[in-house]
Amino acid sequence: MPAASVVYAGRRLITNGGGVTGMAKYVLRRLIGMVPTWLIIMFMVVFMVRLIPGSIVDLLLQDQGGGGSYQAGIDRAQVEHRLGLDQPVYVQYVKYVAGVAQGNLGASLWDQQSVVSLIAQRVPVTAQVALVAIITSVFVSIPIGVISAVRRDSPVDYLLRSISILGISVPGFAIGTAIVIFPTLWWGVTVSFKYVSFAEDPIGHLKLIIPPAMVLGVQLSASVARLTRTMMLEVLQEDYIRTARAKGLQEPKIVVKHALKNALIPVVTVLGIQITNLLGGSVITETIFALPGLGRLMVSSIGARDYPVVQGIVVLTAIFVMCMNLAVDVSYGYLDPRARPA
Amino acid sequence: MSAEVGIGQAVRGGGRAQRSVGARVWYEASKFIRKKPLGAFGAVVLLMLIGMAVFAPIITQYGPLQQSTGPALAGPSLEHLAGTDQFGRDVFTRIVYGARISLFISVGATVMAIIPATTLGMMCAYFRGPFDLVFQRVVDAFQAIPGLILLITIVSILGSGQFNVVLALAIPASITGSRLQRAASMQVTGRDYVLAARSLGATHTRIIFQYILPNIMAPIIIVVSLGFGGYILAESSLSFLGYGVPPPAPSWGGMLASDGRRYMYVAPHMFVAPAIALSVVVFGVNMFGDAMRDILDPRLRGSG
Repeated sequence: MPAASVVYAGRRLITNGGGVTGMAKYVLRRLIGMVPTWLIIMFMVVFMVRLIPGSIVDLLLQDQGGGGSYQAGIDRAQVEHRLGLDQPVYVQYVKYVAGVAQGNLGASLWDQQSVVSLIAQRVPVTAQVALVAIITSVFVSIPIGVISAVRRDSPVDYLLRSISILGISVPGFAIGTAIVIFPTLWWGVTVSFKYVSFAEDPIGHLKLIIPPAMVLGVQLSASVARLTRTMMLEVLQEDYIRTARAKGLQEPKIVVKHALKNALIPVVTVLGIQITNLLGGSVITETIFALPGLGRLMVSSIGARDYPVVQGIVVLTAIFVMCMNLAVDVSYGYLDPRARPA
Repeated sequence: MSAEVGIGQAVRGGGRAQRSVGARVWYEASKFIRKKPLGAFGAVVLLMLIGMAVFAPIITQYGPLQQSTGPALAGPSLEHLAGTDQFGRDVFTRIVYGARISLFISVGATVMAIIPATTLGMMCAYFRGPFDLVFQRVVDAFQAIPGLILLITIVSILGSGQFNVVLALAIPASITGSRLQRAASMQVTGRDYVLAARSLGATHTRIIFQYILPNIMAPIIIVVSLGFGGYILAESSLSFLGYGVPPPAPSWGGMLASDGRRYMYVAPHMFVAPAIALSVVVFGVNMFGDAMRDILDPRLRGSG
């Protein structure tokens, strides 16, 4: 995958070690740089959700009809004013940013529930699935990548590479649907769709987490395996590997102790980038497996034009992704002394 | 001997320069097949996809929207190679015509994304300064938002339909893709011949399009061939969530998502057929892209 290598090449290689203060200054610079990005993200999301045709006000009035908290007779303008939607977009944007700066992400336009608590309810499920997916895929894909690289162009390599590419070629929802349907068709085993929390029924809860985690894990494993293979191939060319061989070190030791450690550095970078893809994949797996997670909340909120919820999810996930990327870059400097910021 | 071959002809030694164009194509093709069999398989898949799209009316005997061509929900048979769906439409025919949609969307999105991505990338690399700084923040913003969510939002704004899906796919791809082109361009802008051209008074436009662009063709080709399969997958995911090409159009993703899922228990062929079509095509395209990258990426050239 070119992306990780390019980042590697684009890093400023140091000549004078900056040490701890150098790293602290780098982190600070990055954090400051995140602010404009974040402002742009918020502007994009505030602007874009309001572009979606179909005003929430119409939906609300349709839905509530005569009952609910909106009595008949209250006209549209009043509802709009109450929700703060009658002001121009940039005013709404500024108000939103001001709110966020104070830690207030607003409330759902439908049931007035605080956005933060809504999201907090959904995050655990999504996080658990993602975590299981990442852990299992790391343990599966890195050995595959290493074996593929060491036995390059052999039948084993072709087989593993084909499986990896198959992993990223089959659509996630096809895998997910197949996991649900085929056991039922063949063995009469049904996957339960009734959600139970961990507190209620730990085993049942885990049984709910594992199938979607497997689906996400397949796609993640495929990418990581391919990247590991590419990086291992590059590293195995290096001179220091040749030196180690000349010194008489055994091959397995060379591979694991010297080559793998260096090859894994860009892989760590890529894992950070893949987190966004994991969130997108969660949308699909949560839809298939009927999990009350963040992805489904996002999709249903877009459909319901619940602007604050959509904005809140995007803002929070964006911060999370940016911080993860920063953490990855910092660990990059830690793992590879050549890439430390000056 | 070689010197007498002629002024304009490639002189590579021996009589190789004297082969006809056809023979040279055959030679290069067989070299490709031998060295990269998986990539060759991918190329075959790609050709089959194009063939299916172009020759669809000739290969199939029914129409893709034609109903009651046979008993509904029937399994595969000689008459209906992939069975029929709930309206009696021939599934095989719909798969073949679906190739047109997949091809249109992936080619369309690729073309619509690569032009702005490359232009913006080259401009960022060449001009640097505030433009580069600001635009990179925009790219960061696009990358921090999960792709599928961005796509859903854009399709919600634009409405569904083939062209809108292409647009929705192209917009984020062009922004995020510019980063790779920028990195590639930065390697070129530092070179001496660019400096020489500037000192000779070449305009910015000329330098960008005549010096930088030809030298970043390799990353462009890599991005194109690797991105192709991604667009097909993205369209199918969108259809799954209800935001893609709407029925009754025979898009593979749409067939999988709606009818395939609904009738999976009684007529599994309605799910399996488009799933196989999708997987094989994306698999082949990815293989082909991999092979292209192996050939063109100079970093890997040393490793063969």
